[in-house]
Amino acid sequence: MKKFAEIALGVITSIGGFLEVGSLATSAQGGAEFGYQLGWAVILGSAALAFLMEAGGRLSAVTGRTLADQMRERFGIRVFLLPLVATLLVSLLVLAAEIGGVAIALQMATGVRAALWALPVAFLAWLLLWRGTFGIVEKGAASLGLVSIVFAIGAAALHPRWTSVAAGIVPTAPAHDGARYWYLAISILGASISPYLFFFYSSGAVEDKWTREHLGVNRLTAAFGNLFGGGLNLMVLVVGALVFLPRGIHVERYEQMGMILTPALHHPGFVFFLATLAITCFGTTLEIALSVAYLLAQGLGWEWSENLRPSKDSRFTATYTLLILLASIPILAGVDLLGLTNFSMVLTAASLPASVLPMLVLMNDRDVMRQQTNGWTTNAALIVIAAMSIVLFLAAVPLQILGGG
Amino acid sequence: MPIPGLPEPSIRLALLALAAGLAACAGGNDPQKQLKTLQSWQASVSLTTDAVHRGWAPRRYGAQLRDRASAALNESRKAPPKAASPSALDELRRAERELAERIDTLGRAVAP
Repeated sequence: MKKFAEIALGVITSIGGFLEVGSLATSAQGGAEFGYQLGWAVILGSAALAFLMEAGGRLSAVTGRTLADQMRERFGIRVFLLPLVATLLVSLLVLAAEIGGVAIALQMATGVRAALWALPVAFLAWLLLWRGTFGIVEKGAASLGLVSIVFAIGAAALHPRWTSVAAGIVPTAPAHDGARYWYLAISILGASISPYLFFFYSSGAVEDKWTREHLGVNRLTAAFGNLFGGGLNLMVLVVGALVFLPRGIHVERYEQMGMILTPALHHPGFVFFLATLAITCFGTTLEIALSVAYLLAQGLGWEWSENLRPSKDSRFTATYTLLILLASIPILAGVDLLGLTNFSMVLTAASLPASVLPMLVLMNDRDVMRQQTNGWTTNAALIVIAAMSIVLFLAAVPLQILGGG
Repeated sequence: MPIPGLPEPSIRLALLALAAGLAACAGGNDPQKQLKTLQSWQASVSLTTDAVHRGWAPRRYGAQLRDRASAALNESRKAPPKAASPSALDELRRAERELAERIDTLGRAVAP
């Protein structure tokens, strides 16, 4: 019964925490411009994340240590600097986009400019991290994020042709705007497979004191959490396809997204969209700030835990404080938030090899994983993900130039 | 003279040329793209006007959308496409007028 409750809570947390500014924006844009045709990118991203999370969680459950900690020990600090710096820089941009997501939701709700919300949002996030525990940050924010289920309700109310939705899961070449299509595909993949997610998940397993007994919980949480979370992300694409595509609306500003659920759900649709944007972005703000602080602290051998008093792990606390402050600057400066979101998602995709390749080696190291090294299925999946990450790395910048406009 | 840590000059030159080529492909004002942007804003403004009329979206949101659409319209007027045929330019001007009318309608809907 306890195991079942743990799995249920893990799955609920994954669903509630799945959507964030990147997945909302890129899936809505994908649906608006290419209908259901980019459904495969959503599904592929969710499946890849499920494998990476399962691997990260398994490593922590078996060794009692985090992915970052093991990477540093196995490859040395010089090699570890690559995923560290890549994830740090990309996560800083994504963090800015998430703070921006909360700020734009508040702007749409109140009429007060997003730039003016940057510092209050940053302060509230910092305060929750300062005062809260890991459980509050992870489960509290993600449980509130269940509001995003409104996209499934919205999609059902619009009566999509489900066979056409299913057809989108099979990759097909675009009939028009090839560069834009592949640019959006990379953005969707980047939004789904962010390195901070599996580093955070691995750290969470250590925070929750997982052992080998949790291997089943880990597998089921990673599989079902991402299955349902990815399904919800697909519903954003479906709603975007049914509301924006027939009207010829291309999402170029967040303000245009405000109408995404109103044709289906009327006034509640508008309210729930803003709630989804604000809550999921706020939850992700907390997760990214923590994830990067974990990564630095584990990589550099500092004391770390969200469950410790800030005075006991002052460098860890100082890291997330500084990160949140830095990430709020672009929003204060009034940058184009959707542009920032798209750019950060593409860079996230480009940064993947730095984390995925060392992880693949680590998961096959018997000295580290003992009896729990990858089986052939997970290895095949991780090899495909690693190969895909290299393709994304090579294609990201040219496509940002060709298809980002 | 080769610089340690950097690729050979010929490779650097090729990379620069590639970047310049890509930038050139992406740059400039494509009349088709500009027209699509204007039509997209027309549809957004209409959808929002309808939602405000029905009470599905608050007027303060409608006002923000109006301001964004006006900014897109001004941008289009300030940067006409460099290599557009007269008919493409006509079409663009028509789309701008249409967007301006729809913005006015939204403006009336959100007026206090």
